[in-house]
Formats: sequence, structure tokens, C-alpha cells
Amino acid sequence: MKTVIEILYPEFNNLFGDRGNAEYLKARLEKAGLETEIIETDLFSEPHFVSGKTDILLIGPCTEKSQITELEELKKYSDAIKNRIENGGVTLATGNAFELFGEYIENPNGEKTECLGFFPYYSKQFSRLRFNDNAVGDFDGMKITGFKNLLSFSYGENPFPFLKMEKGIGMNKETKNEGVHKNNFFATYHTGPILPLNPDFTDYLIKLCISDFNSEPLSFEKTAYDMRIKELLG
Amino acid sequence: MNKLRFLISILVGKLVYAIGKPFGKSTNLPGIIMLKICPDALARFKMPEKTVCVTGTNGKTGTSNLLTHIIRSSGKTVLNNSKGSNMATGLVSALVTDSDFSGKIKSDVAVLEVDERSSQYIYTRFTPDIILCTNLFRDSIMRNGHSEFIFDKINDYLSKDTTLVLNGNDGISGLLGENKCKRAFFSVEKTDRSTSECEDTVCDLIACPKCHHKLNFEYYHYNHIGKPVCTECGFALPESAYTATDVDFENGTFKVKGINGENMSLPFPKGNFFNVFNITGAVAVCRLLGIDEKVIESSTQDLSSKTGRFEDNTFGGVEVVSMLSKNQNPISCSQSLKFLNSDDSEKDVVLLITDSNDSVHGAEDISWLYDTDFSPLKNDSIKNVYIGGTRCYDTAVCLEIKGIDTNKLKLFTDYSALSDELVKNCSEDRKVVVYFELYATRIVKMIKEKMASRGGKNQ
Repeated sequence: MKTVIEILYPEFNNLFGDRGNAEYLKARLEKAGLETEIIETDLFSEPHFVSGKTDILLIGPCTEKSQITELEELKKYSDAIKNRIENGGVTLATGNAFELFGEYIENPNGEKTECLGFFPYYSKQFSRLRFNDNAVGDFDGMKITGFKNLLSFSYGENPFPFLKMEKGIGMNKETKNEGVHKNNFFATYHTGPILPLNPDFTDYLIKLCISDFNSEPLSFEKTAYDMRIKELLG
Repeated sequence: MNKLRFLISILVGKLVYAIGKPFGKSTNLPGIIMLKICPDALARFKMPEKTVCVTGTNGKTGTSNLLTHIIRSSGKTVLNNSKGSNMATGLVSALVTDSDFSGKIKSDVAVLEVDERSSQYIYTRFTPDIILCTNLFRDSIMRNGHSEFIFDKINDYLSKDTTLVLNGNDGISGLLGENKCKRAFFSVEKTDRSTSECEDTVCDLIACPKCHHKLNFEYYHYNHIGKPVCTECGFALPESAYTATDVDFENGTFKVKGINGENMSLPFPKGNFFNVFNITGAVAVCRLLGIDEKVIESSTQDLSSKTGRFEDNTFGGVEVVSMLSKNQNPISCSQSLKFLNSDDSEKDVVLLITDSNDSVHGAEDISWLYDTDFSPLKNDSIKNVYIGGTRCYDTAVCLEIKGIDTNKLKLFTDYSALSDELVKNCSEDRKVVVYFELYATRIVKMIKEKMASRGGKNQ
């Protein structure tokens, strides 16, 4: 049976290299001899996972304005997304897609946009300067490296953090807790191609849908990963 | 008091310029010091009769240089910041060299290249008569975030008294100053090489900027540059006042037709289609400045790419082509790589495209590589791909995912080792094509020196 990777709203959610995640998953699965299909769902279409089989769902970051447009659409499928999270559907949200699952996003003028409300944190945008961070965090003993490029931070309760940061900030500068992990749902502020940067985590993610997956990585990502972790943690 | 501070800053600025010049410290340092003495110095110069600013993601420098050249050919004197930085400090440094002691600019026209992120510190200090925006694309995520973020940075600071000259093929920058400024568009008509689908790795405009439905394009020139038309809400860019037509790629010629009946025949450097946009934009500005068609036509006949960003020489009997490929800019890098498709001759490629100061700056983010079109490296004519720098493994991961044969890849964290190996294994039958980011110029120089000393002819 084909493994299906679904990218949600790629026309908006591809700010910088985000497609690399789907491409890496496909390369790894195909190396293991598994037939793989990438489904791209555009904004005004019903997401494939709502009534079909999506093995891995990817939601990337978008611009601050597009977030508001996307939320309007996503709210129509709120129950389906909630069920997916509760039923263990493998899902990875990166960059500011993390914010969609909290309570609300507040812009610099104090206007609030209601989010999906699955988790109790909320997000506040700052104006003008973006925040960059080269980071490493811990997930169950696994070091995960990533890059943040943000115009907002998140605050409030976060009962299900994904990473405990070892280098770099959490969901804001005051916490080391980063992202959300519940069942097989992962959301992180880290953006771009985080899967090829983290081959071990990619293995972990694939095994959540294909439990007997056992395949060597490609040629170079282990070395690239080791070098980066060593440089960042010193 | 403030006036006095300004006059003192001019004196100091001129002094710093004079002292710094022999040491190559004259293009930015005077401005840095002047803005410390008089923070609003940029607002206090008496600007010339016409001030033109050039901004955008790609093509700023080429377009500014061209504008300067044409305007000078018309007999006017021009001040520009081509030697210095395109931020406030660079502009102040350029202005002080051309001003008298009261701050009056002597030249007839100022052509100023402006960093798109510096708008806030520039357009609020003086009102340019014309701002030409070449285009807006994704660019260095660290500095620019995304193109909408940069759009707002420019748009929020535009004055209604500025005339905008905009790219009518760019549905992103084409929305600047809407309902606020007077706007004139330039565009390039469909060419033999236009496509009906976007054939590049990234397209920064997939959804309609007005209604968010999937946007249709009558044609694409490259990436999101083309003719966007929304079938859902009818969105399209306004008609262009200046249009490039009859683009002849074989001979490197095209025409520019204008609303006032202009019809000019112009050349462009072969293989560099970007230049057609830059030239057409410059022509639009020149016509707005009242420069005669004939002057424009004759002054652009001798255009060669004077940039130093592309060099082709023989060292030790081996032809070495070096091309600048801006770090963190996937559009620039993808366009440069297309050069590899230009013929079937055997080549070795050297990629020095990731930050060559990575060990100082620390673990460069490599997201941009995934937005870069590396497919020209798949050509059978490419024999070896040497990848240099701390991030060579990260680059190789991306290339493998994109289907480049890993047997071709040769990885070196050390640039010296890379150049030794290249010189050892190169052949007079194979061209070497080096792609380098701005700060890797020293490495290109090292490669060329080592190549020259292997014996064989140099030219």
C-alpha cells in the first residue's frame, strides 16, 4: 500500500525550504522500496486526511497575513484535525503553524485572531524585527536541531511541550519548553527542512506509521547532523 | 542647533572621507560617523532637482549603474552610491562627497540604490521623486523573513509624492503604493522561452494576492515573474507604460515600446534575460526624467556586463568560469546554475555557495538550498561537483534528495584541500565552473592561482 504524505496549503506554507521535509521523507521511503505519494492540498479544497488516508501530514509556516486566511479554512475542519490528533495520526507542524493550534494570535495593534484552540497557549506578534535562532533541543534523549525565524512568540500554559531546549529559546525567551507533542502530533517553531537536518527524528516519525521500517539513511545526513550538533552544543 | 550639528557633520564627513579613501574606508565610515553627530543628516541635505531610488530583491546594482550611465550620457551630472553600501550610512557617505559645505548636492540627479529593508530610515528622511522597484522575491530568511514582510517594510514608508516605477510582471512588488502613489509599470511581453507552467523550484506567488484562490498565469518568464491573472476575482496588474517586445535570445536584442509612441531597439548581454527587465525599468525611469529616446538608444548600445560577477579565463590551460551566486538567495543561485545548460561541453563544477565564514558566524541555516534548482547538475556533461565549506555535507544531503548522482560529489570542509584536489584532477578538456558567494572571492582567487601554477597557458 502506498504511503501518503500530505502537504497542507503549499501555496502559502512554503516560506523557505519547507518542501524539503516531504522530499526527504519520500527519498527515505523510496530507498526502503516503499511506494510514496505526495498530495498537495490547496486552500479551498477539502484536505485529503478528512476522508482519505494520509500517513504523514505536514503543515509549514506562512506569512502573518496568510495565517488569518488559513485559519478561516482550517476551522471548517476543526473536528477532523482534533480527531486526527486524538487518534494518533502522524502530523508535523513547523514554524508559525505551531500557533494555529493554540488559543489565539494577537497582532501588534492588539487585534486577536481566534485559533483552533486545542492547546492553551496564545501567540503575540511583534512588529518589524524578526527573531532568528539556531537551536538544539532534547526530545526523549534525541537531540533535535532547527532554525527559528519568527515575528511572534507564544505564551501561557503549554502542558505538552515537544522539546526541552539546550541551545536557543523555547516558545518565548523565558522558557526552554518548545513546541507541542501529543500522541503523534508534533508542532515546533523550528522552520524549513527540519527532517533532513534530523535523520534520527525522521526515522522515528516514519516508524510511527510503518512500525517495521528499517532502512539506512542516505549518504550524508548523519555526518551533517553530527557536525551541526557538535558545533551548536560546543 | 540641529543645523549646526549638520554643518559640523559635513565637515567631519568630508574629513573622514579624505583620510579613509586611501585605506578603502570611505564608502560607509563617513556616514556612520555623520549619523552619530547628526542623526537626521539624511533629511538635511538639499537634494538635487531629481532623486531616483532603486530598490527590490534582485537587479538593484545593475539597474542603478545603468541608470547612472544613461543619465550621464544625456549630459546631466549624476551622484550615486555605487561604490558604497545601500543603507542609510552608505547614502549619507555618498551624499557628503557630492555636497558643498552647506549640504547642497552639486549633481543634477541622484541615483541611489536602497536596501529594501532600510526604507524606514530613508524614505522618511527625504522624498524621492521616483522609486524603481525591480522585483520582490524570497531572499535570505535571516535578514528578510519573507517577501510580504519586505513588501510591508517598503510600502509603509512610501510618500504619495513619489512616483513608483514597478515591474508589471511581478504580482508581489506590483502592488506597492496601490491607491496611494502615482505608478508607472514596465514589463516584458511573452517571449519564445516563456512557459505556461512555473518550471522553477519555487514560485513566490501561487495564490491570488486579493482573493487567495489559486492564481492563473498567462505565461511565466521565471519563478513568479510573468503575467498573473486571477480567473476567480479578475485580479491583474495594470497595463504597462513601457513594454519590452521582440526579445531575441540568439542575437541579444529587444525593443522597448512606450505609451508616448516610443520605439527603441536595444541590446542585452546574451544569456542574461534578467537584464531585459533591468534595462526596461531603467528606460521607463529615464523617459519619466525626460531623457530623449535617441540618447537612451545610443548610450545602451555598448553595454557589456561590467560587473565582475562573471569571469571566464584560462589558467594553466584550463578554462575557469566563475560566477557570483548570492548566499541565501535561491533565485540568484538557481539562475546562475542555468548557465550549465548552455552547452554540452564537459565540466567540473565547484560550489562555494554556503557561508564561507560559517565557522565564525556559526552553523548557517541551509533552508534556502531546498528552494534552489540544482537540476542542471544532473547533466551528464558535469563530471565532478566539488563542494566546499563547513556546510558541504548539508549541501550534499540536499543534492542527493534532489536526485544528483552522489558519485559525482566531492566534499571538502577545507577550501585549500578542495583547490589542491581540483588542480590535481582537472583536465584541459573540461571547463571548471566555480559558483561563489560574495565573501568567497578569496577562495576563487586561490583556485585560480593554484590552477595557473600547474603549467599550461594562462590568458
